Amino acid sequence: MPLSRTRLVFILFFFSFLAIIARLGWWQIAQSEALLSQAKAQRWEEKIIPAKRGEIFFTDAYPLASSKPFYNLYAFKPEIKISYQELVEQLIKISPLEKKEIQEMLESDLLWVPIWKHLGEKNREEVLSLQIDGLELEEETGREYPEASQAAHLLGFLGKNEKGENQGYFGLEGYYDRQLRGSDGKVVQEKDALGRPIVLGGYYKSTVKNGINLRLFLDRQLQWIAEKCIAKGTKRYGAKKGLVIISNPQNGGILAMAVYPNFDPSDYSKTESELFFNPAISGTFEPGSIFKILIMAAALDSGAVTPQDICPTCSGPVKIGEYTIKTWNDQYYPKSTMTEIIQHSDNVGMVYVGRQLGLEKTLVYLERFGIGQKTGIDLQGETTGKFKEKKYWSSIDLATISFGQGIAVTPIQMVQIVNVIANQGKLIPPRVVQGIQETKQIIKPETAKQITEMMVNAVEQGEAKWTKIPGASIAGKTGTAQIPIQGHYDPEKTIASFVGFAPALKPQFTMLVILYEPTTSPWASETAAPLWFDIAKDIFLLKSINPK
Amino acid sequence: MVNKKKVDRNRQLIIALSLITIALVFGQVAVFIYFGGQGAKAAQISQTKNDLIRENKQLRTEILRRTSFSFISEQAQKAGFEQASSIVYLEGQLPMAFKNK
Repeated sequence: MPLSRTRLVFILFFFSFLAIIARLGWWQIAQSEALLSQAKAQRWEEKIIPAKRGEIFFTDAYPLASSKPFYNLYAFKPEIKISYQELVEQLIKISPLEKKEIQEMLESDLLWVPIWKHLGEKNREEVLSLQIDGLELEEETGREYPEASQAAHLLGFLGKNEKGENQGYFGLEGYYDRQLRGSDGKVVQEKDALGRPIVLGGYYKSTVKNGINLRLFLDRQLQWIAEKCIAKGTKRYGAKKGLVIISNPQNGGILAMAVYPNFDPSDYSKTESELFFNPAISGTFEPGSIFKILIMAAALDSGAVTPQDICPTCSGPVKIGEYTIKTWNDQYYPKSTMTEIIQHSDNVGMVYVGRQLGLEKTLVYLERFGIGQKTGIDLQGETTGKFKEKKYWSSIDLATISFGQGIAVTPIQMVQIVNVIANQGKLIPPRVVQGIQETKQIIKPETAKQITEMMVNAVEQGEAKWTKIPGASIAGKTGTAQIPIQGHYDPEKTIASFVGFAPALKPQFTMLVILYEPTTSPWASETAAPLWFDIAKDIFLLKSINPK
Repeated sequence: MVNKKKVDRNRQLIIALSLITIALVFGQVAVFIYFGGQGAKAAQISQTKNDLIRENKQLRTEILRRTSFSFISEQAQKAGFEQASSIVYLEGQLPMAFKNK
């Protein structure tokens, strides 16, 4: 009997140990991963340190776009200790949301309900002051635009990609997205039962790499003037849209780029997507008479003509095959010099210049000036017009290109062309972010001087002389281009432009003004030119430039 | 033959080592208790730091708002400032007295 009792005790202990071993085995083998991660979550706190998106500054170090934290409000249903009705009543006191809207969100199947997005600092404080359990604020980095919608097309906007992460679209935000973004850091720290950090506990950190800041050539004063004037000008001349580009010819820096109508980058979701395209770099147009300066510069540089040469075919319309080319106002100036051809913006005269230059050299100079190639400006979305292969060119093509029709360029390409003339024949690609650009001499300095004199004469004596600034030394050229539609030109609509630089002998800025489809007058001399001079007046005043 | 002196010395050594061990154990406990309490302080400092960063950002935003052209232009208009309409450029001309020579 005593023996069997001992055996019983032994068996009891044996099974007890077996049960304990089995239980330990269950925890340590079967449940090991789940328990380990639970223990880790209790003991370790992991915090992602979001990288600060790089800021974008005007040339005077004032931010065009800066980083700002925003908050999203969520309700975690299991932790809400008051009734939904009471919660809704509290929330409508501080938020712009409708009562019904919040109620519907709370009644959804979700446990973690997003209630209010994009809260500012003031809203955050109001939410915290409610002291309601179950309301959580999630921080995210967004953009703030101290100068509101200024330079919106140049800037682009910060949106979300398919993963819900911040991503820059269009303009600078798109082009420099990778550099602006940076990379997030992480801190892993041991914590106690109350969630406080253990000073002597484990601590691991991977360094956050903030995005780089961009300093632009963009001048805040000039941008302000450009925005204000293009908005006013587009309305005044009844145009569909308008744009201004101001550049520094010495370094190719973009000093201002304004488009009207523009959009608010902080509220881009309410904007029609068509408006995101920047016509300054993404839109091509037939430049019309402003292109004459390129053809004339090429003809002068190659020695095909001199400024004093007389046009022998300028006494009337010129016939090329089945086409007849006339001047814009059907007035003819026999024995015009090359300077007068630019002054009168004479299409017939330009046909003569084009013929003197010849197809071969025309194509060489078009390539030198960068026509048919992107300028490489540091903005997302640049496009370019293309021109035909040499074998497809006919004599009518050579004729029309000499006065800027039958060829498509972007406004930024036109600015690059005029910068060459203002910069003594040196080509510098346009650039928005400060940096050093390589220069290339593409026409002789003497040629640049000759074409400058022609442009000064065009301002002084040309059809836009009524609007010039008295006493100011300005080199410029008007351009009224027809708009091609389905194989022919629209008989009524035009694109009016004026391009030039000042002061002519020591240029401080180059400026291009374009008005698309103005309705008060189709002519650039009555629309784009006066607007150009209005902006120039303000620039002279604000930048203390003596225009003489 | 047991060397009594040696035994005594070993006994003293053991006592000393025991005391050192006890002191170290208590010391370690004391240090851990002290630093354990510092966790709350560290959390507090971290919170203060975040609050200051947030406040700094708010102040920066306010400064930027008040120095933006849109704000300045609005204030200038309220104060009665107008854009100059006629400008005279002063040039480096010779004084009349020199010209007469």
